[in-house]
Amino acid sequence: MTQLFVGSAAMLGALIIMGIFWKVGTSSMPRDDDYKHVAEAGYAIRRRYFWGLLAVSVVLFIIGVIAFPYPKVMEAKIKGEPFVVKINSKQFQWDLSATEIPLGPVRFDVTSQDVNHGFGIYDGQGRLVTQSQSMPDYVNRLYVNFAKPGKYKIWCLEYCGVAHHIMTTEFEVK
Amino acid sequence: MDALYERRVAGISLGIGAITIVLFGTTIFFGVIARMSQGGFITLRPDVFYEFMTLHSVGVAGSLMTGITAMMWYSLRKHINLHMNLMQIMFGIIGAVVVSLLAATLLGFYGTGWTFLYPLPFKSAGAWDDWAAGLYLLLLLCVVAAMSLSWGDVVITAARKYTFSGAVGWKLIAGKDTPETTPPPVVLISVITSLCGLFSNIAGATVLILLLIHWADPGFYLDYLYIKNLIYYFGHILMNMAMYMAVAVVYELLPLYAKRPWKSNKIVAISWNAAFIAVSLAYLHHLLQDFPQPFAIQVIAVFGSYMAAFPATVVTVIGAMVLVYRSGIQWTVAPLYMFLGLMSWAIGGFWAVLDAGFNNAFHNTMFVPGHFHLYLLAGTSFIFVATLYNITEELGGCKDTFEDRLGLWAWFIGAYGVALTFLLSGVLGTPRRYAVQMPGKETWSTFGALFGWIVIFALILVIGRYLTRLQKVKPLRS
Repeated sequence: MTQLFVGSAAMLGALIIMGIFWKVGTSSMPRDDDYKHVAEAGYAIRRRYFWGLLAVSVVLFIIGVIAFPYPKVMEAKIKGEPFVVKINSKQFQWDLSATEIPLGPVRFDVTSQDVNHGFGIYDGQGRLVTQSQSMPDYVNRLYVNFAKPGKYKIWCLEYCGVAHHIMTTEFEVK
Repeated sequence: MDALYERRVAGISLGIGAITIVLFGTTIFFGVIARMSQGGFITLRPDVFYEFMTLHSVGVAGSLMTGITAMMWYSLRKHINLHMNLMQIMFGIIGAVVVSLLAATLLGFYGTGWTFLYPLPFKSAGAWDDWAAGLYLLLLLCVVAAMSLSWGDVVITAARKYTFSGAVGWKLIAGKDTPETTPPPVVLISVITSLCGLFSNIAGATVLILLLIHWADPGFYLDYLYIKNLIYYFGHILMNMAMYMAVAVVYELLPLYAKRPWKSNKIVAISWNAAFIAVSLAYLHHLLQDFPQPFAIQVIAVFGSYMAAFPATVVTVIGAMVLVYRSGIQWTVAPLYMFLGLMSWAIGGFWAVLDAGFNNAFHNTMFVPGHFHLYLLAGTSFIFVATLYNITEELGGCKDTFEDRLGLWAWFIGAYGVALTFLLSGVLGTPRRYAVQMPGKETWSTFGALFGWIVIFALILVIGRYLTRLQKVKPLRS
């Protein structure tokens, strides 16, 4: 859902920017020698643009922070005690402490034995659900609230060497 | 500045331009081959794919960085007298590095990608030789040293002429400026950008030396998260700098075509000082999926990413629009490359902000190469080529031909196609840096490879035309 929303915003924004450049680029003729007048009009637009950009940025910033996947945010959202799965990664495999996981809140404790990996969870339709890094010496605590049963796949989302693209496994949510 | 100095600078810039654009095209070729493999046209062995990926990313970044540094140097020639010897040493070192880099990747099978995330260079699972990892790190250290020579020269020379606080715009901001201490925008931006580069190089040199010590003594412990921070501070700033140097060039050259002035003022000075802060904070968004980073740092990462959009668009992009609106500008190929380059910067930058703002959904998916391919392939490189066209116009009286325009629009279509196929694939969750795509996610790579060939076609045209135009430039006479 986030991907679709942001992807649409990316396309819409690109079209708007292209439209503005097209409009300005095709309005270069005829020359207006009163540059001061042109500049003042441009700077008036700039002031309005500045406040508009500030408003949009503040809204997106707040939405982004609310959607943070970090324990500090997620622990407040998750109701009940989460089921804990320990994830240990190494070139080029995933070790899971459980491959059958109950519906509801789950906490993945993700770490690595060798290099940096990326712990990406994909649903049955191949959509990215969430992710965290998997790093040696550190544990990433990733909370997920599984609402739909089914098979999920883990794919590596940090380049980790020559078999990075086949570093995958799956688990089932029941 | 004396005419002989200016002419020599132009001559060296043209030479560096010729070498770097050929290198740029060659390393893009490796990228297209890798994309063809992802799209199912050919089958590369995974180790070869990752070698090509490394060669492509480091080669394109290195050639573009070198080329645009030369163009910045060219654009500064009327204002400050840089040391030609230093510049020649820098280009010499980088030339030697390129040859050695080819050895590290093609003979030593080195393939970590540009990021060389610790400890991957030392844990290749048998894919590359140990000497190749050490050589690669040593070569990057040479690049850091060479670039520091050049950027240090820009800062010191400008500070001698305008004073340091004048050169970085602080006197303008404080209202204590005089004509003697007010640099033109190209100098102000180049100095701030060079300072960014020097800071980034301190981080780069630190991490590379630490990794080289670890290479020599594997028992030498390094903290993974600390090293990751240093690597991304170094790499993120370096790639943003390439665009900022290009923008400095636009501030100098676009007014020549619009026949209007683009002067330094308090707003420009504030904006570029803010850009310095924003780019220094925004690197943190590369670590948004590293949960052990302190929470406040993660908030700052997103804040810095949004902040970066303000100086770029409010001052530079709108400033460029005001400059050309009703200016009577003739849209020859050089200003058109510049204008389209700014547009790609704005779009690619917008996509970058979305990536940072909603990072959990896009981190290390194809969305990421989508945004940076746009502002490198149709942003920085467009302004680099615009400068080459400008110099040959100025020194050779060259006029645009049909092939020049065909090259531009083919490049434009190819670059936007390449970027969009990456981006849309990322929206569908496709991971980046996969030798073989996840099942069911190959389609966009197929189209991406086809657009890549359009870029190659355009580059052949552009390089051919540039070399033809070069022949019209009168030889240097002392």
